[in-house]
Amino acid sequence: MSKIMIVDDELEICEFLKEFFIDRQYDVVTASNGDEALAKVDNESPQILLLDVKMPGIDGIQVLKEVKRKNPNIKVIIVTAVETDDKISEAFQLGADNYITKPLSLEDLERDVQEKISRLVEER
Amino acid sequence: MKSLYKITAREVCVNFIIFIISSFFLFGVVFLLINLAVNLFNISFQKIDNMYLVLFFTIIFSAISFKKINSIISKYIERFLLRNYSRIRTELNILKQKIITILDIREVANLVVNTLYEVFFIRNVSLYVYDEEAKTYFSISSAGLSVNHISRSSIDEDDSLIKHMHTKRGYISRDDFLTILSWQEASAISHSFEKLHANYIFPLIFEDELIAFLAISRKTSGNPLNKRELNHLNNFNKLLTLIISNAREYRKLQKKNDELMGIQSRVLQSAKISAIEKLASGIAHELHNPLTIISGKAQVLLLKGPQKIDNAYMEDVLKTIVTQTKRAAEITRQLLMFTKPQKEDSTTLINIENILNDTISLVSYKMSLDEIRIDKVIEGNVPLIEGSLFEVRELFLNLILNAIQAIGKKGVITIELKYINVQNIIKVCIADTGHGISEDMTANIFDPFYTTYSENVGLGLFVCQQIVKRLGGSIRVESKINEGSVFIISLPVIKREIKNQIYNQKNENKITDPKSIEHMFR
Repeated sequence: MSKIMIVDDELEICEFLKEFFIDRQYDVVTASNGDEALAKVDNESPQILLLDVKMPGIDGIQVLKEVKRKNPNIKVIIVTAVETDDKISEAFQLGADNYITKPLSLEDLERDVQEKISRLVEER
Repeated sequence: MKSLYKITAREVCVNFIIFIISSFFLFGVVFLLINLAVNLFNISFQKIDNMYLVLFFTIIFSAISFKKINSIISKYIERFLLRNYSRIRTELNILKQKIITILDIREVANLVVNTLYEVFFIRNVSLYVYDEEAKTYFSISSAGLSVNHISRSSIDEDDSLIKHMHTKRGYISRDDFLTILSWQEASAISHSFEKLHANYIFPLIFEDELIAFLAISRKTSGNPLNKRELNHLNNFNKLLTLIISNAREYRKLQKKNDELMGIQSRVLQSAKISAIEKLASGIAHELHNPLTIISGKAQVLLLKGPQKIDNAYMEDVLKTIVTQTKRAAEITRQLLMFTKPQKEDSTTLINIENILNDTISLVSYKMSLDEIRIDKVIEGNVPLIEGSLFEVRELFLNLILNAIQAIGKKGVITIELKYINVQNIIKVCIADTGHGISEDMTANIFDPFYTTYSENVGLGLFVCQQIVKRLGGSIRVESKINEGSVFIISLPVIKREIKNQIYNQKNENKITDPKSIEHMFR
């Protein structure tokens, strides 16, 4: 079973995403801020991270940097409301694997997640 | 060698008369004074020695004071006998007084040229001023020449006549240089004289730079100017040189000042925009999260399928929630796009019709609140223009917001877009039924910091004008109090049709879905 970690400071968002992915037979972990996310990445070792950019404390970009440093194999999908082109290009430079904008289309999101997982399998 | 100046017989007579009169006058007065002194001291005249002494002193005193007395006497005699010269002097003095206070180079030129033309009875006179950018002397004012000639009169800085001015410095007469120079030079200079329709050239040299020159013809009678007239002109030109040099400096400063104004307003405007951008991105963030939750929960439920959703009505409601939240998010995204200047679009090809439609949709809510109707008279297939997409958006948004502000409540905004084939320009007219602008206000409506609304900075229309200028077009306003205003913009169309194709391709690659961005970054 693939493990997804959802990082968003909005609990409701974490909640419905969790429900959605559990329905789709994924293992789901959530984190509501950057510190929590970094701690859980070590313990839970998820394969995919859904990462919100704008968060209090450590923001998504810093989390991305840290995660990719620790384990470049973890696929990171950046979730943004509206970000500037600079922010997005910075995220890609730091190794983000894709980015999606809010409000999310869950079907598109799932397709993207599946694609990333199959790529992970290929890489192994 | 021909004589430089033709001294008239009348002038010779007058000079001679002045000399005689002042000599006699002086001699007589001094003789009398000395005689009086001699008589006072009771020295006898019988002695022939004393008589010689008196004569001796008389001559000495006369000689010493002759120059001063002569000039005083000649001034008065001239007034009677040479009324013409005294007229020239007074007219030139009046002219000097006038031009000292003028800063505009064209105004100085017009005044000088017209006065000289009338005072000296010459066929024509022109003032040429050096243009640093074109490296050419252009006639900025002339009198007595046909319009046809004026419009094309300029002379290159490499012209041999100009070079000759640098070496000679004083005025040059067409008749006098021929014998001094080689045949080739003489013929080239002669040709330039011909071109300028001139007989005399007065170089105006300031700090070793030939900043301008006066080209003057013969008199209307066909006679050349005489020595006095030439001297008058020479003296006058010393002042004219200073004034033209000052006017040029002033113009340079003014240009710099305008540039600074432009920069300042752009800085202010961009500060204003970045404030709007911050606000918009903040709102977008705050809105997108609840929208994501609403839409997300609806999607989760929807995707659970028949086990949870037992009727079509419920499914329809959920689907509507998903599509409508998406629409709401799109609106905030559009708002952001409007405020965010994009680096890469410094110049792109722009479809004005699209921009007008976007802008109208952006303000349509505000207009519906204020009961303002918008009438579009838009011609299809208008060619593209080249410019910054962000700037063009700002231009039309400013103008439409301006129209809304002018109307206040209830009214009509008419937006007309058409292509004028003959001039190859696009014309956009934005008319409102607002309060209108008085005639004296239309003159400074495009000035920076000019506003009639207390809540405005007064940069909107100035920025519009700057944008139109950068697009190579023009903007003007026609207005009637209580009837409304119309802003008329003309924009040049790019020439090559090929660009149309490039534009279409570009549009297809528009960054809308994340995958294309992902692709771009790889």
